[in-house]
Amino acid sequence: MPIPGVTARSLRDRYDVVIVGGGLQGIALGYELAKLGVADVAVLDASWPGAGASGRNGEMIRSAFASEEWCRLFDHCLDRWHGLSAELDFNTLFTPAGYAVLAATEAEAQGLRDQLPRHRELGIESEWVDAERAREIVPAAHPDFVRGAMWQRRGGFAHHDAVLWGYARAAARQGVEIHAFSAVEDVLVAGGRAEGVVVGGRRIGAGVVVDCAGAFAREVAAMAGVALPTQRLLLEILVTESVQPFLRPAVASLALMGYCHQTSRGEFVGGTEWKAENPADDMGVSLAGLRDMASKWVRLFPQLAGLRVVRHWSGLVDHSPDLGPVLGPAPEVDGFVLCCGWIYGFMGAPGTSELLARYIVDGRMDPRMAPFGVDRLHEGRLVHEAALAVPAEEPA
Amino acid sequence: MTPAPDLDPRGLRVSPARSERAVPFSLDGRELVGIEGEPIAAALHAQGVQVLGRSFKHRRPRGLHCVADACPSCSMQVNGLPGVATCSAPLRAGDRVERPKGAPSAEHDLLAAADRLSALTPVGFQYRRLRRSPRLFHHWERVLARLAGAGRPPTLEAAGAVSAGAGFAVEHCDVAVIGGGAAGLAAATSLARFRHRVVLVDAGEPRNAAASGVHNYVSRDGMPPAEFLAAGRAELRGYGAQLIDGCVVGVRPAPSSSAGSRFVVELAGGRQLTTRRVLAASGLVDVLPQVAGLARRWGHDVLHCPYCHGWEVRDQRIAVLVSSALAVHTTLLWRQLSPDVTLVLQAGVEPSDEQWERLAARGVTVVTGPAEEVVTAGDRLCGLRLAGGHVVDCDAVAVSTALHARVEFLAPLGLQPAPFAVGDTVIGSRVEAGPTGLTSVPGVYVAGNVTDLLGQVAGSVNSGLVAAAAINMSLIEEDADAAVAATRLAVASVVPLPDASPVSVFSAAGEREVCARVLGDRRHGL
Repeated sequence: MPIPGVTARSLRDRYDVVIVGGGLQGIALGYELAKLGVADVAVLDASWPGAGASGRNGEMIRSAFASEEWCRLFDHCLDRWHGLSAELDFNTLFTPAGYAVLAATEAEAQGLRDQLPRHRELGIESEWVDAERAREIVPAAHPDFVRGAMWQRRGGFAHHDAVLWGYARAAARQGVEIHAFSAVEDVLVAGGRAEGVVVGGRRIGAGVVVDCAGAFAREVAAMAGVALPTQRLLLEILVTESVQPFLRPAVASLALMGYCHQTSRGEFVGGTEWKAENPADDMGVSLAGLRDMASKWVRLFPQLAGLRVVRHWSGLVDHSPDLGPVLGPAPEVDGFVLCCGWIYGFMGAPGTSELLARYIVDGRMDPRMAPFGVDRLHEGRLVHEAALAVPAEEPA
Repeated sequence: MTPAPDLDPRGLRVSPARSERAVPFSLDGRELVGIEGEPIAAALHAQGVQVLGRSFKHRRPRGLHCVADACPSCSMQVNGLPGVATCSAPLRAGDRVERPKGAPSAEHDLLAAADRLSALTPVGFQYRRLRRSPRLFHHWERVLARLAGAGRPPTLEAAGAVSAGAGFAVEHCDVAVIGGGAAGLAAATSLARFRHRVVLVDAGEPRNAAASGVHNYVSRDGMPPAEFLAAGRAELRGYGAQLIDGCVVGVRPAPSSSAGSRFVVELAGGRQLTTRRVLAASGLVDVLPQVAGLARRWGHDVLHCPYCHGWEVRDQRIAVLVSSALAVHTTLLWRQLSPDVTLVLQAGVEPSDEQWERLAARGVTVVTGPAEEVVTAGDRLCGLRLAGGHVVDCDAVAVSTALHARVEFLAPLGLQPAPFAVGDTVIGSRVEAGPTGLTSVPGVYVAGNVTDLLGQVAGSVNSGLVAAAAINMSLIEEDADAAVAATRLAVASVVPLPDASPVSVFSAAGEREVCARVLGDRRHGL
């Protein structure tokens, strides 16, 4: 079966832009570049488009974070999500069913409420809902875990494969070449400038090389002599058999460090994060991970005890020290652009790809993207974002 | 012990002995009769019901297909649980069997008209509509979701029965360590280093919270207790153990169906852990004498242990509140640290002649209480007022607290703290245990102040390590036993041995049998 959008042509000797990594970030960037008139673009993937985190993530979308930097970037992304199916002329199955971050304790509730002034100031749609209203939004949840919620009506979830296919078809229509099974073996650098890549022993010239290699972004950057202080981490998630709707919005629980939703096909999809660090090189799954997810989800939604788990899989993310993405130029090498460090890359793709394409075309660094440069990691100027459902170090 | 359920509500039922007993059951509320123990789908067929559900996309009727519990075709809702394979789940009296509703019924579904149009409806067509309006799509999707779900979500009762039967609504660990003080942290870290799954539950109420620093611990002198514990927690986390901030309300035996687990640890709020071993390292509570103002100065200038706090009040004026004959002896410890020690005799205490002589010889002033109130000046203790109004001027008050192990959560196992006496004086209560911390309940261990009321921080660390080693060994032995049993079972299933009694994998009988099977007539004679 042909993969949507994947070209049957062979690689040419030169492109204006070569994007390393055919995940959602890479393909969306190819599409955005073509929209700006740069259609001589090749997206290269070591396997097939979406084989990595793009086809394995939790599909959740929101913008009501705690820090100004995250709020600004992801609110732009959220705006793009709302018009994406129409723009791509492909149903991404984006469901604006809302996104609830549940607080199980007064301390968690206070932490969430503290974000409201920032949301107001930045014009981000969000509201604090008390326990009673939150339980109406998530009636199946155990009340112990619902002492209130940060509720973002415009948030929701989409279908990751549909999003990728939509972008791939739209990009291909505009002339972007997506090459599957074309692993990049080296990045050519001469005189401090990226000049292309090596694929299957062949030199492919490029005016700009973009690192969108997801969990393997660090290795690709190293080929260009660019040091990326990120780490590959493994996350696990499960899906149950399908039942009629019992959960409408996307839900994250700070107490359980988990995120979940029920698809319109009826499956419950949920992942938890239970280890501060879970470095990995392959996409294996663990019994401990399954146990953690199953026990936590059954506590949040006691009914789930009667449902079977259909699949349980893992994906790899590129973990930066502050969990934020790494966007923009690599200072060491001209013409080598980074789009890495993604943990929230699915929800971030529609907006960031647009901003990054604009930077590549005319060198304009959008202020929403600027705080996420790689320099911040080297210089220790981390972006502190407190509203993430990920394990954090215990406060001293 | 709960009896093993005779059915697993997921359909993996143990078929009851064949009977010809007719039993009532219901389909979508309609009363039917079937033979107990026959597959539910067979009972339905016998009643002329062949449509067991409808497919999502084309609303085609679904019925028996593989008859091997390997496809979803006969999947139905039974007693509130979706996804039961009715081709193999045996019928029981009173079973409530349901199909996803059709309009007007599952048998005659008007939506089945979609099947007529199937040539026009390619894969995924339902989801391709309305891409230009996410809001409209969302409403359409809610319609789709009703049709798509293979069943209704389980009822709470049905789900609860599954949780209780399978014991999977809980987290599991090898060792649950209750209490995150010195003993608990040391034990948990040692066990985590041995790669056991360790969960440490800590209520966040360390006994020494009020103290300014830890002493008599080589290399850690003067370290604030909070810092000491934080460092220990960080070390423990580094080995992959899980820390839960919570309060254990009960430990009880696990239901027999929880393979390998012997205990259920219940936390306030309902969270549960199953575990193979329990280590109670929850410390003790100091119960102060009833003197007004004493509790407020506790840990600052009201002190109980000359080893822990004596040096810090050396050469100061110390009043020792004595409410037992044993405490008369303790007074001499304080006297070693300061020349100005006043003994305040509480009601009912009369030193022996020998004690009077020793106190006098060491220059200890003795006054008769009882003490009524701690006198303070600013943030400083300055005296102890006695019943008669007389005030003993002092900078610190030494007391003997009653020491009671904090182990109410062990009561469901029948473990109670027993009174502990030094000489003739009962100084508190502790959980009695053997030298490795093993209590009278196999699998339950204690360490630290729970069992050693007089232990200091370093001693508690050691006590934790000793218990950890014992737990470690017992887990390793148990795993080895299980491995041996599994190996024997595997061999026995390949080579049925003549004697059903327990046999060794390498028994002569087993070897002979294997040899006969593999080599036949060419076997060598033994």
